[in-house]
Amino acid sequence: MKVFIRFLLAMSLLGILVLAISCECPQPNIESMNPSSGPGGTIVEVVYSGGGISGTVVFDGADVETRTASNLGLGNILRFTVPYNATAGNKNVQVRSQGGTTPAVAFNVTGPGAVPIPALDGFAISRADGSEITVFGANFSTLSRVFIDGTEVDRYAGNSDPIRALPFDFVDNVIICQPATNLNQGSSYNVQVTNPGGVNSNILNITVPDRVCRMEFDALENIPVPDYYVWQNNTVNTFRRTYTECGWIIELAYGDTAVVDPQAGSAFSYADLYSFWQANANEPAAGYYMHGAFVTDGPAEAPRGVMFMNTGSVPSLPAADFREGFACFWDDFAVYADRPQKYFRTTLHEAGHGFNLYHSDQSANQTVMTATNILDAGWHCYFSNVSCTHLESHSLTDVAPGGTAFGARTCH
Amino acid sequence: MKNVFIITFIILLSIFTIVMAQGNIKLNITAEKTEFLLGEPVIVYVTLTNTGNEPIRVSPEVAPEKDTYVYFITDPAGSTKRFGPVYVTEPDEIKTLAKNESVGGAARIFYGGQGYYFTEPGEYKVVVRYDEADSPPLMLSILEPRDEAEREQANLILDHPEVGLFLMLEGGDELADAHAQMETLNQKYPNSLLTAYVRYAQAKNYSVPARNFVIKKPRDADYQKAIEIFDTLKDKEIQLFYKVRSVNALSACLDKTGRKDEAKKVLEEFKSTLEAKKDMRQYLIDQIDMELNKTK
Repeated sequence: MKVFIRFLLAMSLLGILVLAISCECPQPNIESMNPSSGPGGTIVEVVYSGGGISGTVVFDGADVETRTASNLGLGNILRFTVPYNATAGNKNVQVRSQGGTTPAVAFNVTGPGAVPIPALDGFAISRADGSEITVFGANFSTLSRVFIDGTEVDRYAGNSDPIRALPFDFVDNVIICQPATNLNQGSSYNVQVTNPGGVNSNILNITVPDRVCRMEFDALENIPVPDYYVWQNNTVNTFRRTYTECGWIIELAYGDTAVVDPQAGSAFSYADLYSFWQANANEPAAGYYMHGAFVTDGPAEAPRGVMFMNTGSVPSLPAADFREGFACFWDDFAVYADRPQKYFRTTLHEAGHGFNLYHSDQSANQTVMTATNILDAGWHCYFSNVSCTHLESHSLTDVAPGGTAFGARTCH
Repeated sequence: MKNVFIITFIILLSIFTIVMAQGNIKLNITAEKTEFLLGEPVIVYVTLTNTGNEPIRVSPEVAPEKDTYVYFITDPAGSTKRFGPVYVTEPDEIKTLAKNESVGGAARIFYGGQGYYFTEPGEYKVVVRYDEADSPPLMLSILEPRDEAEREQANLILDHPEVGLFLMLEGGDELADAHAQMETLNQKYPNSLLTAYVRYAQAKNYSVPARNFVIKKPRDADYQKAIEIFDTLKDKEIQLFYKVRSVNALSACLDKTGRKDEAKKVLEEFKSTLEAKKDMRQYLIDQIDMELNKTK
């Protein structure tokens, strides 16, 4: 299936390339620029129309290193960093693309900027073959370079599998990369980020997890589906990051993310959830598997998430076993100002139950498995030491989805 | 003299151990009855009391699905299992208990993630744990079927996990095997106690819409059908836990069909019945009151 998807992707790219070469493109035009002023080092996003399938930013008459928001290196959303040594005053910003160069838009440089020291604080591996790594931290820019064991790696603009753009809000905190050679499960590497002028970050020593779980997400139409980026406690978090840091590579696959709700407006019952799982989960032939359902209002008792077991005979899932499904309810957070954060946290938490984690595996720091009823605003997106030890070192029978029933694990 | 000293020491050590283990929390577990039919849903009731001098914050939700109160079931052969629920949801409430204040509620522990827990006749022991505190054991007897008819009824439930799943989910239109067994129970044993529990779950299922993504046959709630079935349960000797749930669901169905006065009346009548059950009212009266509030 994955090979087929990549084949389709390659064909699409080829098509786009053919289109690009043969394009009689209209004159490009800058539609927006954000921000429109700032010192040297400001990261700017430019959206243009017309032109071709990609472009290069021209700043004050010179090409600057340009990144696209899309992982394909294509698209009409471009990002660049204002040169650190830019002098104060209005500078012309243009985009050169097929079909010409846009009229200039003024960017007001308020003065030169100092190159910040980048800081690394986490990572995520998104594919079992080790072909993609995301690093997290602060003070990154479009000019930052990433080195693994001293070798520079290619930067992606956004995630692959599934392909998603990196939101502009996180461009200084997240870099997605393709290592020169695939990272090996169980091996350790030194990761470092370097900003212009050789300003280096701390070295982050990482160990690539050797446990892999494929997660398939299905959702009702218009319900957000992870993986996305969430700020909490001054840290950028993703679903994959939380699990990678406790020994698991989460391979994400999207099933149907626009399931039509046949009873829209009524709350989901537990029976509805069970049928959603049975109808939409596509269990792979091998490996560890979990299914996430993202739906609307939950049952009347108002849980915000559920982990459910397979105990009946599930005709559509003959190989299904314990702890392979969970659900999160988007609308149950409607009244909260931090709805995306709570929804994200619930997703982490319910999947945690799928890995046979208990509420009693929480810690005083309000970590992922802390029961919802005792959370306050200071909760964290990481697992407690007890949870993490379970995830990364207890027997796969007790940890991995499909193993022992919830509550029946032999480890403590 | 030496023996007296040793015995006294052991007793003191035991008391000390209990106090250390349970801290300021006293847990108690009980049931409406101590004898259950084979295949009958087992409902237990838990009370948590603050025995310390300082207020404590506790989760008042005792259902095992909330994964805060943990249940251990020892079967007649002496094997103990931690009860694992069919699904795990999030506890929503937190309550501060002053000295000597209690919270309590009901827990369904007959069917979970490992299937049925009371699968054979005999003596079972149930203990509930909250944090570090354990309750004294509750002893329950699962009765030997008195005849072949009772045994067949039990088998129609215990040999079929989907029936347990249906009883726990209180729904599941696509659970074909469950429906087949429940239909047999309805046809062959329409007046039996076990069938009454099944009929409760069927009525509850009819009282809400079903999405049924599996065979893509969504269904609207059938309030009239639910009301008819709930009405047949009024004189059945099902456990109060199910009586309360039946009355609440019946009231909701009556309300949805415009029979608001009747909706209120069934709740008020049942509340006065429940008031007389001094041992059980504390666990269930809140649920009736909540439903009554909705009718105002």
